[in-house]
Amino acid sequence: MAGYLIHILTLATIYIMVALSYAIPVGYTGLLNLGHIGLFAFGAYTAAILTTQGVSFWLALVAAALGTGLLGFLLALPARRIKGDYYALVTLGFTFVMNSVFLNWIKVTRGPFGITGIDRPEGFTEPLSFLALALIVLLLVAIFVYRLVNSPFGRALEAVRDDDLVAESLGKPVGKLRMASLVVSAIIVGIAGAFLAHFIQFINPQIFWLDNVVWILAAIVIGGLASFRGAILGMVIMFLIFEPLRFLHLPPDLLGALRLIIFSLLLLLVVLFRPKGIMGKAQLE
Amino acid sequence: MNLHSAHSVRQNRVNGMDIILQILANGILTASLYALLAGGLSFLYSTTKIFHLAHGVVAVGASYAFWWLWIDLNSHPIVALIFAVLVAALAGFLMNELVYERLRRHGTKGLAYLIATLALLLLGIGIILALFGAAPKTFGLHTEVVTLGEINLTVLQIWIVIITAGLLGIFFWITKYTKFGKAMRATADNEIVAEVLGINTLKIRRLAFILVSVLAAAAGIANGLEFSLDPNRAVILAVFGFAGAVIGGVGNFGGAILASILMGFLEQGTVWFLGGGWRNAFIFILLFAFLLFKPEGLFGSKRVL
Repeated sequence: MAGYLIHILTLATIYIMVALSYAIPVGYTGLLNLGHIGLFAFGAYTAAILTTQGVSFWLALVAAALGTGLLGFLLALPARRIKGDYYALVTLGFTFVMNSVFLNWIKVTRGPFGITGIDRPEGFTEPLSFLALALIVLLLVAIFVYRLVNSPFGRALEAVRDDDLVAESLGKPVGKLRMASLVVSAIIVGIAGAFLAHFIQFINPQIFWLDNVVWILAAIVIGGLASFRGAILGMVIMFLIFEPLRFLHLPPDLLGALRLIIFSLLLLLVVLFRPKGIMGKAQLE
Repeated sequence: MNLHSAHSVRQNRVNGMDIILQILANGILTASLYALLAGGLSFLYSTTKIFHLAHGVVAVGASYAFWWLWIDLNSHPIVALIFAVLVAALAGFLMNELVYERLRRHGTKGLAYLIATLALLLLGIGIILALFGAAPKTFGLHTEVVTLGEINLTVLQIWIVIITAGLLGIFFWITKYTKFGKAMRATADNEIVAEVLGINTLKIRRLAFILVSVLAAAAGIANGLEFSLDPNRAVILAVFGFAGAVIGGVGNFGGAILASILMGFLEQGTVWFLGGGWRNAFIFILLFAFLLFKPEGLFGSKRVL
């Protein structure tokens, strides 16, 4: 039981990092980046491929952060001109492209089977010590994101979200702000990806598919967009709702279907009846 | 099936011209599916400004309804077909009525619609998974192969192309020449002016959703007959439909169809030269290039961004 609890806490810690990283472009800048899961995957794969080749975890972690940041920069390039529905479509496409790469570049990614036998970093092989490490990193990420969104930079992002024309006429570099928020978000999710890979110790393309980005989106929408505490609370709620489903002992197919139905319905209900989520400031407009 | 026939042609060491013809023949089939979706979505987006990604699950849902009645319950295929079209029309209508219209009444725009349509898409996939399971289903249809020179096509494929052309023609006629179609285009042009002129835009939106959902049903059923039933196809069909609409120039019905044909050919070309696994990636790189360098699409007159 204690082992299970530590497992869930570690997973939740990693996913709270993901929720915080996702809140920056979606909640604060108002860009629905559906490629976030592809970035998450890239961080996980980069770190996993490096450490299974004998590179140290710490170096792999840095590589995952920087590599994902760079990929996030490429994904952010169209955000200078494209926003709204079209940006969502482009980034959805990015998720497909990344998925194709993971499935088909078999020499490097081992295709549909994914990468197995990922060892935890030395000194942190015990579940409890790994949890402690993840918590420390989460704390650092949380402090960083908190300071970022409450800084003039964070307020400029919100101005871009609320009205990009007004922000532009006030001299805000709208395109650069959009890009910066996406790159910062990518770096953080790259770190989270490296942690996920080394925690669950195997990864495959299935873990990083579209339903999971909408699952993460549901967390930050339920918690409230453009709310730091909301992103954390939303993810905690998602774990509280979805972990107990495991104990229903349903066949895996049905469990997957039930999970999809519950979180998409929940997301829909929040958008329709409480668009601010639990503690969001921004109207979903 | 496409891939297989392509392979056998390759083994016969036929000349390059025949390969190109076979790619074109295979491409016209996928192009038909995309055209049914892209044409509808292009029209829907210009009329309602809703980025209806859940369109994909309307299409796939119709194909499951068709399969359920025809194969599982052994009904007459015509009965199953009518049922499937009704299911799609009802699904599209309800999505608009219960979700999009509600958001519209609350004056929301942008992000909320996108999140809602994503939720609808996954909700639909979840329901299909719960009812039918994840294992792909097939119709087990064996139709004759027609050989024209070195090109192989099945009778089914020929019928799909003919029916698609017919449906798109009817749809075009409705939107171009009927009073209702003119009202729709007026709504697309300027909703407020249309309302001032006495057009009931709510009714127009309802009808638009029903019409494009019927096209989606055709696409879904054709997709199911030609390939197999798979809930995850819903996402791909929706996104390819939008890709066609964007590349063709949003709001340009003919453009969407030409773009779909182009996409069908390029996709088959990709399958031929790089293998089936890369087909999705290729279309997105094309879409990416268009949005970056030619966001008004191939034939769009209005700037969309």
